[in-house]
Parts: sequence; structure tokens; C-alpha cells
Amino acid sequence: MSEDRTDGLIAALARELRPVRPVPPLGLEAAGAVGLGVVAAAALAALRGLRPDQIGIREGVGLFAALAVGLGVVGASGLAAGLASARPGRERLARIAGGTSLGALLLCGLPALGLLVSGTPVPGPGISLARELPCLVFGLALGLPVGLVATRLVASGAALEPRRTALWVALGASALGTLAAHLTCRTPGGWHVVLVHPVAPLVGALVLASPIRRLLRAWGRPPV
Amino acid sequence: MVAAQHGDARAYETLLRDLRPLLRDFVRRRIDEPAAEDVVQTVLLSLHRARHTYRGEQPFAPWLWAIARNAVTDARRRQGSRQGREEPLPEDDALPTAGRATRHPAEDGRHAAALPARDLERALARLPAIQREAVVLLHLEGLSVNEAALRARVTPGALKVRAHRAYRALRALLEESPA
Repeated sequence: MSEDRTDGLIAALARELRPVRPVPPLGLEAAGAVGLGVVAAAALAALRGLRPDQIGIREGVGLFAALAVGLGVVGASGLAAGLASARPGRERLARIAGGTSLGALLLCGLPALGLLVSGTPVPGPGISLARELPCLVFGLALGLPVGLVATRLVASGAALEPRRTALWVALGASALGTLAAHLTCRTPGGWHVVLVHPVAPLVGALVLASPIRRLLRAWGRPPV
Repeated sequence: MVAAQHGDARAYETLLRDLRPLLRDFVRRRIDEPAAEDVVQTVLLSLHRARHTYRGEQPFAPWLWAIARNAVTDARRRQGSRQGREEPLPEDDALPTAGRATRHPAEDGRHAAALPARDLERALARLPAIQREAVVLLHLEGLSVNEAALRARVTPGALKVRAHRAYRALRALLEESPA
């Protein structure tokens, strides 16, 4: 009986068949989303100028640049993981990209740990939530356009695990937003740069994941 | 699959029929027999919905098995979460079928009474359109959940929810109406 129904379903699926346009190549979509974030960060840096004091310690310029590269890697690989996880059969790529993103995020946190352990004096005020919050919000806001574009692209695929996909997109978008904020932010203090900037993508991911998941549901086809 | 993406229904049907025994083997190794054929249908439906994500230059097998694996995982998860909290519905989901003698919900404990088809029609007419559609597709047209979901353009899960709400509403409406 049930097998007859499978026959019926196959016939119905063939009857209902309409031509569809295949999704664009994954690399193209990833390059588009990441490119948008990087161009936005570069444009903001060109408009506002780079953070003048970087970190303010002897290794500051190097650390500042390394953090910028790290945030870029977190963003690019996070978005790639999100996009790949909406393509059946590309789970391995999604896992590798996701692992790269998390690994890079951990590496971004290492300078803060190194400064703490070595006891290197870091100039400027310590951490205060009221002072750090505008930078966090700024980075999150800058990540929103990238997040929306990436969500639109993901929604045109078929996310097998929407929750995880939304988390990757949220992490990638907020990391690219944080990159723009990192390059241009004026919040004083070295601790702000080495501690708050690496944590910001994580906060952004937690904040944005749920709305992105809702958007995926609203914009996407029925889940697979 | 590329031909199917271009709308070639015959090629698509051939592909699905060729895949069916492979999918059945795959599912039966992971899901107990009574539910296995339903999961095969879910995989076919998922494959249909995700057909635009296949790109011709990529191997077909990983794409197919990713969809199948996901359907099996979902089915297992549902099985697991259903156990212990599901309230079994009476025969035929407690839905009186038009024109068939059935127990009236208001006559609890007494003998079954014949429910006129017009009572059911009236009750059906009072349901929201999407709930009515679910009942009509499943019970009057006799489609499987997957076929009905395809027709209603929703997921099988969403269709089941609509049907379940419709059954509850129908029961309440029929209890209200005089025997």
C-alpha cells in the first residue's frame, strides 16, 4: 500500500515538475558576499581613516594588522560555511570553513591572552561596558548589510540544518562588520582592541543568528 | 537531474524510479520497516524541493546522499521525540469520514451512531481554508502525507500540524452540533 503511494508520489512529482534555474557556483556567491564586506570595510577606512593609535604598544602595529587579518578570515570562512551548508553535498566544505572560522576566532583572542600572561603594560583605560558598547553595536550594524545579502543567497539554496547555517552566516557577517569597526574605531585603550574586537563577532553571532534563521524561513523555499 | 532542471518530466520520473530501490536500501538500513517507506517518500520530496541546488559539474551521489541522510536523521529525531509524549488518536485519526457510520464524539460511552455526511460537510466548511485543505487531501482524496504536502506546497510536517488542528476543531464542532 505504502509502496503504491511512493509510485503515486513519483508520478505526482514528475507531473508537478517545473524548470528551475540551478543555483550559481558556490565560489561566486561566497566571493560576492565576502567582497561586499571587505569593500565596505575598506571604504569606511578610506572615509574615516585608520584608527590612529592602533594599540599603543611597541608590537601594536603588528597586532593591529594581525587582528584585522584574523577578523577577515573569521568573516570570510564563516560566510563560506553558511553558504556551503545550504548546498547538499557540500557539508565537508562547510565543516572545514566553519572550523577555519572558529580557529581564526580563537587565534584572534590569543594576543589578549598573551598580554595578560606576559604582564605587558597596555596603555589607556581598562574595560568598561559603557565605553565598549558603541563599538560593538557599530560593528554589528556594519555587518547587517553583508548578513542580509548572505542570508538571501543562503535562502536560495536548501539549508539542511537551518540553525547551524544561520549561526555561520551571523558569525561571518558580524566578523566582517567588526573588521570595518576594528580598522576605524576611536574607542581609547589597547584592551579595547585586543579584547573587545575579537569577542564582538561572537556576540554578533549570538544576536543575529535567530533573526537570520527567521529570515531564512521567510525567504527560503520549504526546508528540505 | 540536469534534464529535470530543464523540465524534462519523463527523464525525471525515470531518475526517481531508478533511485527508489537505492533509497529504500539506504533508509531500511537505518529506519525500522514500518516507517521506512514514508522516509523514502520524504527523501523523494526533499530531493524534488532541492533540485535547483544540484549543479551539473558536481558529482550526483554526495548531493543525493546528503539529502537522504538529512531526511533519515530528521525521521529518527522525530521518532525519538514522539515516543512517550504522543497521544494516540483513535482509528483513522478520529476523523469521521463522509457517508460512513462513525462514533459521534458527543456520545461518549454509548453505541456508535451514524453521522450524516452533511454534518461533516457543515463542520468542514467552518474550518479555516488551510485546515480544510489538509483534511480534504488526506481523507477525501486519500493522498499520502507527502503527496498532500506537495499539493498544498508545504512541508509534510506543516501539513500534519494543519491536519491535527483540523481534527481537533472538527471534533469540537461535531460535539457542539446536535446528535
